[in-house]
Amino acid sequence: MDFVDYYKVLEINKNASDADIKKAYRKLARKYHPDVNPNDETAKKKFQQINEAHEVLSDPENRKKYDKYGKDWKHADEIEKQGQQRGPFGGGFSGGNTGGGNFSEDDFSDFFSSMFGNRSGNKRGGQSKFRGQDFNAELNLDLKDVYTTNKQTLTVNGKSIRLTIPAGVENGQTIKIPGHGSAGVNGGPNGDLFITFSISNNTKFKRDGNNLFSTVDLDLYTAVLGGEIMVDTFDGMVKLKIPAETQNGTKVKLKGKGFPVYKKEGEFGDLYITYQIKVPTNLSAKEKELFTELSKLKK
Amino acid sequence: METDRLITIQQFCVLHDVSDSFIISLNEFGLVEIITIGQQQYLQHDQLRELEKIIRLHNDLHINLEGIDTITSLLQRLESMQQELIAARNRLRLYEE
Repeated sequence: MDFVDYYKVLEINKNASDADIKKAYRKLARKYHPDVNPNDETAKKKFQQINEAHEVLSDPENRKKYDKYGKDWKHADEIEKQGQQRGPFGGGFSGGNTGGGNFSEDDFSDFFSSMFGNRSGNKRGGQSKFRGQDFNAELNLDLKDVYTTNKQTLTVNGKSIRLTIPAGVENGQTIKIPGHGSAGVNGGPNGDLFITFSISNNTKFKRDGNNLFSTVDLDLYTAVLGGEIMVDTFDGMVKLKIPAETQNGTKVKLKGKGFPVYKKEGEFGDLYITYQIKVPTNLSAKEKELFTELSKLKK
Repeated sequence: METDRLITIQQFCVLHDVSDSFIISLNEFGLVEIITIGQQQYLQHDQLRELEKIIRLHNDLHINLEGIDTITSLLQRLESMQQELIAARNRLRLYEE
């Protein structure tokens, strides 16, 4: 992984005192703590960096090693041992694989991964040991999928979970599945699984909460004289009576023909239909004649 | 009341390395609810997530109970505003599509 300048992370100078380090750490920890920045991955990463920087710089031994060897500070003992073996004229540390050591640079947040409950060897006084870690997942569904309650099987961290998705779930809504996070420690309860729904709409209906909206074309003659038309709703066609002299843009409400209300079985929102009157085109000579006659009548 | 979904305060305190008095203070602040059955005091499993967050805020950031109370309220407001934002974004899609 890339070298992280711990001084930059803590926004301090290289000659900062222990008190400066502590002060800077506390200030930044308050700002980026994951509990005060829920669902913010950037803040979480930053907090891990801050913690690691503080862990190294607040320990005089580690700080000395870090100041001297920079990114290779974890290998400091090995480098010094090599230096002693080679004598005063030996070569410096190559920065490559020195062999033999079990060091790894990918353990970036080893120090503090335990803070979020995913490591049992916690040295910081038993924080978050009891309850399992929460899992977050995103589920992509189509609007049609959430019109009815349906069952899905999800695979989360290798485990299959049977899930009942209640009809009427909203785009962006998060539901909690208790006990389907990681296992609890010391007999404690499991964490929870949080599923956020991303719902795409490929239908001709627009959705606002439980209500649906659609536009229906209406021919001029039906609008003027009235009549009956068949319109599409989310669960099939319905017959609508059109009153004579219906104006363009008229809205009608079809009660209970909207979207199901979340977790309220049998309750539905409304469907709002807007009539869009289509003026006839490509008129025949006869039609033109009749329209002309009509227009004369109105004068 | 069944104790299936409850944990004794003593057990919680041992596992989280906090004192009983800390939990009692949280209860006095209205931040957690203690359930008493007979001689035993319990916490509900449903509260553990929130309680662990409170302990982390207290231990990691040295925030006192007044501060935690304020942060908790603000986080609740933040959450409800996020819900409103989601609803508003969904409504906005009506006009963008």
